[in-house]
Amino acid sequence: MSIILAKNATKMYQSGARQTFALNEISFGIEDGEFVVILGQSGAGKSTLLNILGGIDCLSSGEIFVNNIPLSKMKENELARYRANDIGFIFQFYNLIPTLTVYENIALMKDIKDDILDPAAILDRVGLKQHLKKFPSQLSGGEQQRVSIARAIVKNPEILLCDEPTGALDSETGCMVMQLIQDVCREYHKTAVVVTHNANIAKVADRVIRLKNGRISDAAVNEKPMSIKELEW
Amino acid sequence: MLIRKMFRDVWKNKVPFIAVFLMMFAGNFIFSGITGEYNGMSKTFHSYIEETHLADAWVLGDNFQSSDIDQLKKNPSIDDVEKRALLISAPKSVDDKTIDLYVLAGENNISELKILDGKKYSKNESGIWLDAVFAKENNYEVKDKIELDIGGKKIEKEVVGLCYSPEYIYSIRNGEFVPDHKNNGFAFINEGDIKEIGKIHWNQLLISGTGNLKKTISNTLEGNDTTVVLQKDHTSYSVMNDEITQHKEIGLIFAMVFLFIAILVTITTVHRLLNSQRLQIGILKSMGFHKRSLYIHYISHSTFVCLLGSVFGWCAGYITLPKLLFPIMEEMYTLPKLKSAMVAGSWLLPIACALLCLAVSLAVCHKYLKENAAKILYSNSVEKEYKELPLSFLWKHLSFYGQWNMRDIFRNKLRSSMTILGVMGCVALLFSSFGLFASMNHMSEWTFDKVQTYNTKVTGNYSDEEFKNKLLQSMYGEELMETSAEIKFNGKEENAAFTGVESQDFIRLYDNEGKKIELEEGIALSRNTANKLGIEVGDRLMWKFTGSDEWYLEVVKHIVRTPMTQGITMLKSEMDAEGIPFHTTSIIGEKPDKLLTNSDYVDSVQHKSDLKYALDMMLNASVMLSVLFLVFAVLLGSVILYNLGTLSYMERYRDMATLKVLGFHNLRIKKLMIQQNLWLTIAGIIIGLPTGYGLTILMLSTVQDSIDISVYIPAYAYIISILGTFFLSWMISKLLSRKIYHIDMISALKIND
Repeated sequence: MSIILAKNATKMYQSGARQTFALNEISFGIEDGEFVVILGQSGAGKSTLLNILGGIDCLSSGEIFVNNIPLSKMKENELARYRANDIGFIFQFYNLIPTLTVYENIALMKDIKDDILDPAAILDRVGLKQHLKKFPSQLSGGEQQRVSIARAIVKNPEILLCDEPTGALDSETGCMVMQLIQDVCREYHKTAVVVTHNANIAKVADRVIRLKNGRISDAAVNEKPMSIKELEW
Repeated sequence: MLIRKMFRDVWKNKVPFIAVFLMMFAGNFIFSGITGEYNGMSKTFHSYIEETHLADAWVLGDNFQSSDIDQLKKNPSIDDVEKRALLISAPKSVDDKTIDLYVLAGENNISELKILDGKKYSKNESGIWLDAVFAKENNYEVKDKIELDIGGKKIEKEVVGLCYSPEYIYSIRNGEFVPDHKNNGFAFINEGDIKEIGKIHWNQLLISGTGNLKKTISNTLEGNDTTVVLQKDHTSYSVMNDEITQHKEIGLIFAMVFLFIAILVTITTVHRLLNSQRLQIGILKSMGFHKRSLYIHYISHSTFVCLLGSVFGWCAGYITLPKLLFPIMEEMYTLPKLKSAMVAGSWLLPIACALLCLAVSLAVCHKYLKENAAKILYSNSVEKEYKELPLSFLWKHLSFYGQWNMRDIFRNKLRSSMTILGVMGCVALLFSSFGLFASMNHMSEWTFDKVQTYNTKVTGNYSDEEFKNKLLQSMYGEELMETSAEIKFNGKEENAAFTGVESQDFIRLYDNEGKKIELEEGIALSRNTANKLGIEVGDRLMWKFTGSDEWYLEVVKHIVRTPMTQGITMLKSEMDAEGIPFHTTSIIGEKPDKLLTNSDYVDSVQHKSDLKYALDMMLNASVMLSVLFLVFAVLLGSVILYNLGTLSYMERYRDMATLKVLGFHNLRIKKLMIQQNLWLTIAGIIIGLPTGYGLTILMLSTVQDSIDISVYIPAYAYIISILGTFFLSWMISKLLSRKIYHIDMISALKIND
């Protein structure tokens, strides 16, 4: 059963008489527990799709169902609850709160969800046990992204949405981060949607959706996903 | 093209730039307004006393002879001497009006009259020259007849001129707060036109001269019972000078406070602008724009707005503020028409403000523009190294959000301290606004309910024992002696009031803490006089009545707080015991029989209600000052809180957008934002209350020495200042927090800050 199902999803921007389609009647399905990569060049519509999946933007027409619930029917408060309970975001630039320590950045999630996982255990899992009391500015980029992953996982969401998670990192650190995302998804049984323009990352995905000018140019299941260790870019 | 960009940048960041404009406007408005006002008063005052040749000294005695004048004139430091007689008179059949009638022996070349209507004064003219303000209040005109009663002798004269006298710029009777032109005035007459009163005792000499006049006169008239009053000690001169100094100080204090805040607001505004334009700066640099043109461009934003605010504020203040203040001054002082006058070089203030703004902007710009294009484009310039909170044991018990806010406050020290400073200014102004108003009001209560408890004071000639006793019986009253005295202590001399009382039933004494004092022996000295001469309880001082030659040595038994009469208070019994003459000048007590007050022995009758009314008139000026403080408090508070609140919102925008993406509700984020503003407001209030108290003391200390106002802060001043500031802070936080609903979550995924 598809955890995410898009039916003729369209996002159109109107500027005077001119219409621009960021997403143009796309339809796809993502299965529970899959590691999906949405691939495309700049302006292809991949970020728009991620924003809509995350409930921070809305469609012009069509529908996206998450667990059979149509996102377009949700009110603002319901969307906030959806983001709090079902979605874990991993940002390109980490978006950690600079005035909170590593531990506090994770524990902050207690405020929006009661049944979060143990922050200390999660931080241990992502290899940051020794940095609990540090502030984000005292960490490297890779370490900050690991905090961001821990923050997404600690809520125990069903879906992880990753927006160019390696975009601000070097190749080696990027691989480590990707490995971590994949590992925790498998370990905690999460569905991951990774948006990227890096075609190499697509090689490790269970499913790859290629976007071009707001349309799906190709959507296929990767029969033989490559190990991240073999990746290089 | 960069100029066009500058205008657009200013428009885009209009809130902080409006704050810069308003603060610069307010600072310059107050400065130019008050300087224009006090300098206008000062110029009018000095040119008036110069034009009318105000005497350099007055010699008061019993009866000066021509030989005294001849002797004085022989001194090279004395240019001219005129003699005259001061007689207390009353317009006939009006029981509570008095006119100081001056009989001139010759021409009037010293302390000349300024004629407003009628004939110029001449020793050959007959008729009377009447106080123009008294005449206006009592409907006298030139050619009217006026009947005067001088110690029981009646004269009737034609009013030949209406005039001002430089000696009557400020004139009040004992126990009064503001000049009462309806009941008190002055008049001048020639010696040759007042034969009906018989022999004249020339009791005043007017001296024009230079050097140490007091010493010269005392040496020349040695052996005579005289008192010398120098120009600087004359009420008209000293009170006017004190008033001018007071305005100068108040104006400077306020202008400096606002300009200081304006500079701080400028610093944060430039920071914010440059921070938000890092990318643009990098692009412009990489395109080849010279560092100098970028410096000029970014400095010009704030300098332009600052110059605009300063120039507009300066002009508006100079034009409007004196016009608002002069009518109040004209109630108090009788001067020719007051006009505002610019202090030389004061127009430089807007330029100085713009230059200062330019300097601080330059310093801020240097921080952002010094790097090369690549570094500006690709670095996170706002990423501040963050460390644990100082004194972490204090904060660890705070809630999670509390700690977060506390860290944000410490992380943005400039912004936070400016918010605290702004709130502090707002509270201090609100507090002193109410403090000033309450202290002034309290003075009325203190004076009429605590110190002067009599209902009526009848001033007159009490040489007739039978009449005096009748009046005493009618009023259930007691005798009072009010005159002036000279005090000597440790080589210092001071003129002061002398009050002799029969008991402490109608005039009570209180110490600094407001505790009632029972004076039994020695003297009680007012705090203002004691402070001036450095006298403490137990000290011995020399004093004599003005015009007398006999000095007395007395121990100061108490230092007392008294609102109006500053000087010595002594019991009649103690005076009798020490052989000091007690001359009754008034009877104080209950309201007397009307028939008695109509007597020729009575000069004036003052009722408590009239005095209270006069005080209320004086309070009008303080109400205006309080309202002015209130307006500036709200302006300062609103501008600072809104501007810095917006800055805080901008700086935390990404964090708040991230929280929204993560699933936080708007209300939770709103609470976080309001909490910080609330804390900074509390900190500002804690510092602001003592600052406001200090400001109230400072403002009250600028009041003339003849008045002693104790600081009285009722509970409502605290409550309104605190609640008012909270309300303002809450309103602005509420207004700002509405922005949270408009946070663009998508931007959180894209901004790299």
